[in-house]
Amino acid sequence: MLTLKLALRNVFRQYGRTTLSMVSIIFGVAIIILGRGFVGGVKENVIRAQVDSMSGHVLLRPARYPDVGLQHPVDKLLTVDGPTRAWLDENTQAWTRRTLFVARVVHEQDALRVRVIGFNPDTDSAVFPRKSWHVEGALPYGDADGVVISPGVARIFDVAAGDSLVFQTRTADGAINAMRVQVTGVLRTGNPAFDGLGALMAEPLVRRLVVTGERFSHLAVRLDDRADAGSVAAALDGRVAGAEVRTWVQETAGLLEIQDLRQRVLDIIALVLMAIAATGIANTVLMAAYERIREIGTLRAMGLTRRGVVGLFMTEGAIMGVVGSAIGAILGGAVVRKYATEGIDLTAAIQGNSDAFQNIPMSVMLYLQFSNAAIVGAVIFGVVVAVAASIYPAVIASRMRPSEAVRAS
Amino acid sequence: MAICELQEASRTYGSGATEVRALDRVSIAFEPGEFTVIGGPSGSGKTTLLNLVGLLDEPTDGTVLFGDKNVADLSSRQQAHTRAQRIGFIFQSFNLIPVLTAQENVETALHLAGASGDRSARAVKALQDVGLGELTRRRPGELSGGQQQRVAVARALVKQPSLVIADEPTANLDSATGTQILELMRRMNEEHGVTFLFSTHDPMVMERARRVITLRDGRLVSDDVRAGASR
Repeated sequence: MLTLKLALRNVFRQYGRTTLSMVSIIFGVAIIILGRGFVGGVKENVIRAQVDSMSGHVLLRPARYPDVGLQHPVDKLLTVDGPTRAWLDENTQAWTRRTLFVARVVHEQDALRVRVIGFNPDTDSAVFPRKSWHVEGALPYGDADGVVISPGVARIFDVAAGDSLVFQTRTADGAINAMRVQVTGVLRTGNPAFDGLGALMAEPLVRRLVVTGERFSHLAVRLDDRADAGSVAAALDGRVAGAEVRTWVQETAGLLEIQDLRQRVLDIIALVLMAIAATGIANTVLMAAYERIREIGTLRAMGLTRRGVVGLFMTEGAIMGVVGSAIGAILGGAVVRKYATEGIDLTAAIQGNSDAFQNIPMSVMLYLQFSNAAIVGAVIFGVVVAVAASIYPAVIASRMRPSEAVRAS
Repeated sequence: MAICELQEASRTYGSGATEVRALDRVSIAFEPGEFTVIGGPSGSGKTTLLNLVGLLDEPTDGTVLFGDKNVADLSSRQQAHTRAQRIGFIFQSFNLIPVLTAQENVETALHLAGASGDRSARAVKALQDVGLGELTRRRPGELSGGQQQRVAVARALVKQPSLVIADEPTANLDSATGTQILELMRRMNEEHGVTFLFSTHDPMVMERARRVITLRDGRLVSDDVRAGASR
């Protein structure tokens, strides 16, 4: 109690110096919390965007299907038998089929390679919610021959609903096929992987263009709880001939690697700030020790042990750490909580960097991830750094000879 | 038994050409209830002697006994506990802790001594005994030099030590205040049997001592016990 009282009063007797020392702790802790909240939010955003637009919670696709780039082969398509359909109906919230392929889209003298998603108009929206979709025009449905194109395609060709485009592609059997298709609308999904060079057409049209019959390239499953993806994937494994089963975790792992890298960069920045904080605190405590030589000597003469002196100065460091970390946690936590609730609109950032986001599914609204564990961890780290920084000056103070210290000027 | 005894105790600082022998083979004992002054010119070894008696330093040669214990056999921690429980210090520059009030300064001595009971009440009583009952909440910066030294006296005495070491306690005080402080310590000596050991240049202090020890160049040159010191 005496140690705490003395330490508290000593810390705040040099108010300005103490405050300056704590500033770097405040920023360090706040940046750790903000960084964790941001990267956690981006990860969740990427996961949701990928799950809600491309993979669902469990995805079946042809074995050895390419993972990267604009490659969607249709030479090994899948079929699903009756018992498997029944199993899917019974054990999942929803499921749907999709066929992904790449078409050369021609408009007048221009041509583009476009990722086309063939969807089942009856079941697709149950697996892939369309909350963030915005259509200028109409989605194709039923047997209608129509296509919605991405804003990127519309911009490059300068076309809109009512215009027509020629879609040229290989059929499932390897022949070349082409069809003129009317554009029914321009679709913005918020997912740059589609919004760059993408197109969406209904399954009946895909059957005629790619000649797939009842076959498809992807079967996506939605579950009530995404944590069940592993067990559902295991149950589906082997049910569909030629298919590999992947969970949303596997589908997003590659996408999240860049976020882990971003997390490490933020951690390094936070560590540098903490190192600066540690230096500042060590300096402050050391100055305090040299300024208070006579007080230390007096306390030693009165019976305070060396360990007691070490404890006193480390407590002073701990107080700076606790106060600085608490302020940093309040500031960082408040910002994270605000944007965890309100979200950050990334529309401008995504549209301005469509190349950078082309293969990363991202929703336009980014919600930071508020985590009590991240806040507690950052505070503990801040306090540990401050206490560790006080050890050296505390030991210096404890080694002062009381016979000389009591008479120091 | 003597409270403290030095046997052929020496203390040197530095080595080789720079070696200084601050205390040179001094043998002396201090008995309970003494009111003793150590005199001598500057550099004669007064402070060094007080440091050895107060367990703030150890001799380079010879022996220091505190009670029946050889100080050399005590660990740093044991020496600290002995100081906390049995020795009170009064310094020339008062040496109060500036961030603590007068009462808290006095309580600190009780805390370090591991005293049980109502430490706050004991601290207030000690301050009342030195005439500062109304100023318990003041910090040292809000007290005069004489008042600060009274707080230091209260702090030294509150734990009822067997020995109080006062290093030139009147040097930073005017003569009237110095006299008051000296009378206060004399009263504590007579009423409570507290043993006082002073170092001083002050003739007024010398006059009131019952025993006067004189050092010169680190050596004991005289040790006079007086039958009736002046009041």
